Amino acid sequence: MPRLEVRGVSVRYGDLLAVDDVDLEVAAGEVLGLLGPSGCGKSSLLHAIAGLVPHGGAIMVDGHDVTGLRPDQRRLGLMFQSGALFPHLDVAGNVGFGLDMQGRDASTRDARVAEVLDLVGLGGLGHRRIDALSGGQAQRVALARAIAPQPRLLLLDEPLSSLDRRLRDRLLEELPDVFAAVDAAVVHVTHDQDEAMALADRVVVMDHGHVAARGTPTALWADPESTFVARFLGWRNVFDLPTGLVPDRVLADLPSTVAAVGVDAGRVHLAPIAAADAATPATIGGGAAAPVERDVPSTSWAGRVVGHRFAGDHVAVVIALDDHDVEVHATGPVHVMPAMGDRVRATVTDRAWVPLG
Amino acid sequence: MTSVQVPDAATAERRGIPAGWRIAAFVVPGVFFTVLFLWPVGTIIGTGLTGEGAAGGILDVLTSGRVAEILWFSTWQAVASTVLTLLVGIPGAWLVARVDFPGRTLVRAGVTAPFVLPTVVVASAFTSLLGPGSPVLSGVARLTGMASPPDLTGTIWAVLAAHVFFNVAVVVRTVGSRWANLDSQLAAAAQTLGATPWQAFRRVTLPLLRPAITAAAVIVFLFTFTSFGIVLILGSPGMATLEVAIYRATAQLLDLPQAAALAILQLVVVVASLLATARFAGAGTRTRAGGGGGGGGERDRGEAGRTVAAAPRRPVRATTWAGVVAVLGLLFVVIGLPIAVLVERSLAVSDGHSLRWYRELSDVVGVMAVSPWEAVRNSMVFAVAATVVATLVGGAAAVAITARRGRLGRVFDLLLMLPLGVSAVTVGFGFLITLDTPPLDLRSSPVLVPLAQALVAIPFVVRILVPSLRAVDDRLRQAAAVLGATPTRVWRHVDLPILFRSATVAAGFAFAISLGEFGATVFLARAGTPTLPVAIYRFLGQPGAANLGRAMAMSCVLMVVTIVVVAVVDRLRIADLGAF
Repeated sequence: MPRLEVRGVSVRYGDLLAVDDVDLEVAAGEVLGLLGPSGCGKSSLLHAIAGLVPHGGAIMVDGHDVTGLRPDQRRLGLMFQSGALFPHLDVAGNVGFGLDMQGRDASTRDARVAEVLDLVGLGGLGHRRIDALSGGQAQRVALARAIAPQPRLLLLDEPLSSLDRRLRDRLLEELPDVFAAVDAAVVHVTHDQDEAMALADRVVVMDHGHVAARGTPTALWADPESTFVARFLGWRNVFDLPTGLVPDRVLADLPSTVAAVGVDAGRVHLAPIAAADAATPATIGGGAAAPVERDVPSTSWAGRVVGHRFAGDHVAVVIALDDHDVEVHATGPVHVMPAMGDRVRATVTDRAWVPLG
Repeated sequence: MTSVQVPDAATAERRGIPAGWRIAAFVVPGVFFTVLFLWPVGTIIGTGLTGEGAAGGILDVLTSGRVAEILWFSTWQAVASTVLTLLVGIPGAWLVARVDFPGRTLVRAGVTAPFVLPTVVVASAFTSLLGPGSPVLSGVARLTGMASPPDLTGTIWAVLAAHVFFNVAVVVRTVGSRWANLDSQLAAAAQTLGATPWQAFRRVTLPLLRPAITAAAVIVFLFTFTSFGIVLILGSPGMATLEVAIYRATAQLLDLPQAAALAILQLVVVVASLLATARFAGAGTRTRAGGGGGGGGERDRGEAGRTVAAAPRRPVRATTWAGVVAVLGLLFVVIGLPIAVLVERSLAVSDGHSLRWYRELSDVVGVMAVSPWEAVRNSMVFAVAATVVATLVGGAAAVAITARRGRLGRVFDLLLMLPLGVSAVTVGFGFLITLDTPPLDLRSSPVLVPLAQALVAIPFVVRILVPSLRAVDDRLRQAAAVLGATPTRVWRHVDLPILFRSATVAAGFAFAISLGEFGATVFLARAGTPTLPVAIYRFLGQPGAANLGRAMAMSCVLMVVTIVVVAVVDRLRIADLGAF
């Protein structure tokens, strides 16, 4: 039996249907990433699960219908984007709040507070004032507060989006350990696909209140199914059909329902074209995701570099094709960063094309 | 050995107000306050300390049983009024701050309206609601089988009800603005942690509102402790706050030393309360600073107080609707009913309803040498003059206060707040006993009334202007300077436009306050030039349906004018009376 079951849940704000008939299941110990752009309804769905907004449909926890219950009757932990720490209480007061509500005696409470503070790496900071915490510490306190009462559901509402990148990466590494230490079904709402891919066992992508796609992170990345999901995951090469860009032999195999094709920038291979000898291209690099494949059917275009960006561990390049009014995005290793205006050849194998609905 | 001179950035000139203006900004309000406030009030203190009245010297007056009685009455009725006001105002604050319901703007305006109503209008409203002719009390008497409706005027209940009516706005605005800016996720967080709605309120919301509630309570206490018009008109002859006792000692007993002694006593109590408030306010600031960490953004919004409307419309639960209806009902009984009955009584004649009392406002009758419309005209002229003076002097003072961050600015700030604490009656009384000798023999001059009204209005003007001047983001000035503006031009193009906007608001409030001012004006208005509040007071004091009807009609006129002025000002959206 799944720990959390969401059946046909809808949330309405006035005329706006923020969540429209969504179904979900999450098992205990599983992390579900709820991914989507802002305004897609993911936070509203999370608040419906928490019981903070009235909703239609049914929400079941361990097989029991909790739909009519108030938040305090649902035994869950919710970590807010802003932290929502109680400014009038210190760290221990915040973390112990849920335990107080459960009526635990003082020694049990203090022991549990110390335990979860250790778990989130804040051991000994129980008496720290909330306004004396750094942003990263505040989010750790918010996490500790949510897990201290041993909730059946742990709901995370954009928990890392207020942090700078370095802190975010550190917490991304630590969170799986924390999740492993609580026996809860975890629902993690985020608009950041990297965050969802890093933490989630399964991902649900939402768009305008509907589920747009669901699957494991690797499966979704390999086959985003729709142009919306492909673009949202960060695919830059998405082309509406019909297009002269893709060879007919690739298109011939596609079902008639396909409206677009796409290829991840990492699977576009680049080779320089020397002005004198355009016929013998030497491979200067390929995407980190796939090694250069030889002797497989592929498509190749000549073009000119019109944009390039150094991104630390790779280079992102934009190529204007000579024969098509199209720009193609590619990535390459940093040591081959081409200059603006360089002539290059971009190659995509037939297998790299993904049909999108 | 070459030590580089590093200028102290902290003391660098922050505001480029031209030097001449800066001096004028200090001198004008300084002279105004010395002549019209420090001298009169100082003279009262001197008279009280040295004079010998009917009851003896100051110690004899202060140790008399009668004074203990007055002090006790002033205190307990103020405490009772404050508690009752909080009981109505906190649910009201919840309603306007946290619930998105149709007509919220209207309710917010309706709750605020009583605070700007002149005390005589409030007294008229409760005379009509709780007096012999009240349709409400007649209805209650019929329902309960009483022989005749009770006359509740002259009882403590009338005084308390009027105090609640008058001050609910203070609680709703002070607590409501804090509540609206509380991160709603905090209560939600408490609930997800297992707190019932009541536990979430008591453990999270209430502690966070406490500074605002305390501030509102102290203000309501001070207002009701120094209550004058309400107690004078609605109370029984035996009932007296210190303020009423000062008036009676002066106007009826002609016992200046006794009045002076009472004025000193009141000053001491008020200053002590204000000092206590300052300590509370300090504690409140520290609590508010506690909104950091995850709530850092929340604190910023709290200070700006503008993001309330931006909150998304949340679906409202059925239980919430029940609360909304209950609070709306409570607010209607406390605020709507008195106003409704006042309007009804102003139209009531012996055989039904008509505009007779309004038509007769142009007649010269009975207690007054001039017609009521003449009083309306006087009020307008005085209020316009008072507004000009209050805005100019208060504006100069606000510039002076914000131009200097040091001790001088703070002392000036405090000095200008004093008239809030020193009652209007004391000010009027002080004018009478000091401005009667050359070169300033103004007793027979009509300028005394607008000067006194301006003095009462200036603290409000300053309170509105100082925060908005301080709120001018220094980065705006820096941006203008970097773009090539000289200090003078920065002031002219950045500060002045912002000042002008809030000065309009301040002027509107000064006008409304002057229009309804009663405590000082009742001393100073001459028989030939009564103001509208004074005229209403005279008519209320006379027996007979005709006098009462005229008083009600005049009260309605004054109410409408005041509400229109404040509504226009409120359109400008800057002022928050919550600061009072």
